Amino acid sequence: MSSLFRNYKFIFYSILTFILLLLPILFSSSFVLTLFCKMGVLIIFSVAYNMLLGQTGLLSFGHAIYFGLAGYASMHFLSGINNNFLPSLPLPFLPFIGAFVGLILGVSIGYLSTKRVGTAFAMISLGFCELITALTLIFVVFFNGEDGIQADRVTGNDFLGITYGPQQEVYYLILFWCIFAVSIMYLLTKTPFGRMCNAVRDNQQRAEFIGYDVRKIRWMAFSLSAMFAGAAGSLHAINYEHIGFESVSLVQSGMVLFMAYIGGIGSFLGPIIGAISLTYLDTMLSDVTEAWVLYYGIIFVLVIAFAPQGIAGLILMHEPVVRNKPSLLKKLIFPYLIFGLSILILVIGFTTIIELIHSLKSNHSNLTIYWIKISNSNFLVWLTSIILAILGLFLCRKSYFRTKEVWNDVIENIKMSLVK
Amino acid sequence: MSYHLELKNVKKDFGSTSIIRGVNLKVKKGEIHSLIGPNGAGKSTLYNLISGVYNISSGTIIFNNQNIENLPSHEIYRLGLSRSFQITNIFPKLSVFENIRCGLLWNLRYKYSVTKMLDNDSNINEKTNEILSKISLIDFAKESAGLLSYADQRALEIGITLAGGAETILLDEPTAGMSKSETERATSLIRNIAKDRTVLIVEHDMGVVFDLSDTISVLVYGEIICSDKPINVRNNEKVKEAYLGTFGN
Repeated sequence: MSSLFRNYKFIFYSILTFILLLLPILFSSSFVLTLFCKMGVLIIFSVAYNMLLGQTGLLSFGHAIYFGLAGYASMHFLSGINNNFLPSLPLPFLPFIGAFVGLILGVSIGYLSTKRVGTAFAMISLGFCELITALTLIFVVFFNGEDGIQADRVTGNDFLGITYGPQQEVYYLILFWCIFAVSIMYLLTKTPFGRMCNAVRDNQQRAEFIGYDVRKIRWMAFSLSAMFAGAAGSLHAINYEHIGFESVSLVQSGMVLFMAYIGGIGSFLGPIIGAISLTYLDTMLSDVTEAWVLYYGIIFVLVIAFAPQGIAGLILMHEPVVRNKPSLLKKLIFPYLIFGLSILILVIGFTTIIELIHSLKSNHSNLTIYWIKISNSNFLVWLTSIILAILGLFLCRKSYFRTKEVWNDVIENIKMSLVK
Repeated sequence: MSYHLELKNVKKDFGSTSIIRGVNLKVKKGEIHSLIGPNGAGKSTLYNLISGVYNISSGTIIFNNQNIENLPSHEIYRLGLSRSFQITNIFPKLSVFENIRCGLLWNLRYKYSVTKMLDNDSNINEKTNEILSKISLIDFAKESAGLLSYADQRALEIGITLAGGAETILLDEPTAGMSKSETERATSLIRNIAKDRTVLIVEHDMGVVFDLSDTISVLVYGEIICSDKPINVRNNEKVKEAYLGTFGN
């Protein structure tokens, strides 16, 4: 059974890799390719971040500094190669420089900050983030202020005949690194160190009483997480051939926190789901609407309030049901459908109101939403959307409690079957 | 003779309040030694001093001929002294299997390894299953520890303590809050693990204490007033006075 299962997994990942390899052929537009590259970079970053947040239980508000500083270092290294100041290093190896910078920073900053946990740890990380952001404007020699620094990724020294000029070649570079880094981080969770990260997260005192120095575990997790964040920062810089102060800032730190959290910090796949969906939303929504930051924030708040385990958590909470009594899943389908429909009504109503309000600032009274042309001077349009929103809210409330009831029944049923 | 664990004139003050006022306690190798006393006598504090959760104010603690007072918890543990807790102290989000396996890691010298893959390691996985069957939780191996019943969580906790391979175990109220049948199960588990170990128990259930112990020490207001065989403790006047006859018959 388990070897059969492993075979399925192997086949699944092989097919997935194959599809990923084909993507640039299916989508040749450079816009889409850049989007994929961005996703790849942020997947590495958010999985690395979750090594700290989800696996070890340390909330950092400043993880972008390892990402960003490694990016700066990589850009300087590239310029060094271009100026013949530094020996030539093939581009695919540049992220090792970033990883090294991340590791050094992680070891030293981690030494200080992992002495504390909880709020104190979070505050220290916030402090470091503000500090480094301020440095970008002070040490202009290294950071070049608000402009940031640029470097040509085409160094003139081809690697196996690849110049890394075209976006497509960068896509494959990032894809390789993404698979490489994420696999290593996955394997790390299976080692004694990885298991003890979870143990320290769950119960620090108990972890001490099975022989571990919990601070050392936190420090190692912090350093390794910074190392992988550094590799991601390097790739980010390669992708854009530019790095700016925003990449070390609180904004970038918050972004990776959102990704990990919305995707689900409780599972390894969570941050990957978060990085893909939020990068997509970030790019697509910002094209469709100017109010996307608002939607972004609302999604975050709702996830924290109603699904603190994120998207992956919502999926994985069904795992005990599938394992013990899969027939009970049938009971859940109908409530889920109704709940989903209620959410859809609420979303349509609510977003229409927001877009209508937003459209008032411009002179055009016409706007297109959900493929329908409407006018903000039409009273009926306002009324309809308000009614939809209220109706949606009412239905959501109603069906939420109904769904919860059914869910509790199912879990109760499973628990009963577990008692001897 | 030298003792396995010996406390000499151990004192602990919290601010100006003395909680432990000069405790002398001698635990022989291989015995089941119970520590009893009224609420607030300082039993849990004493455990926390022995296991390094708090530093002591003065005195010495000798374990296996080594001074262990004021060492960090994980170092005391590495010398072979392990403990369970009054409040259930497990890893709630990890699976039952994972809880025990984590307990085995240091014992089997895995330390902080970042290269060994545990899922394919038959040695540690077999040992984990052995302990799981010893504490009768093998059927729940894959469940989250947080989902177990209270009694099962206590059993799991003793299992984690066992996994550490320590030859000396401190148990803090192992049967608190259990039903009669659960208490019986826990008692037989303790007797079973005490066969080749030294066990120190804090316990309120006098039935369990007199049933299990080789030696009983009575702690009242931060001092040991009596340390003897169960039959002698039962007849000790000072103990009777301290307990106001609560276990006179």
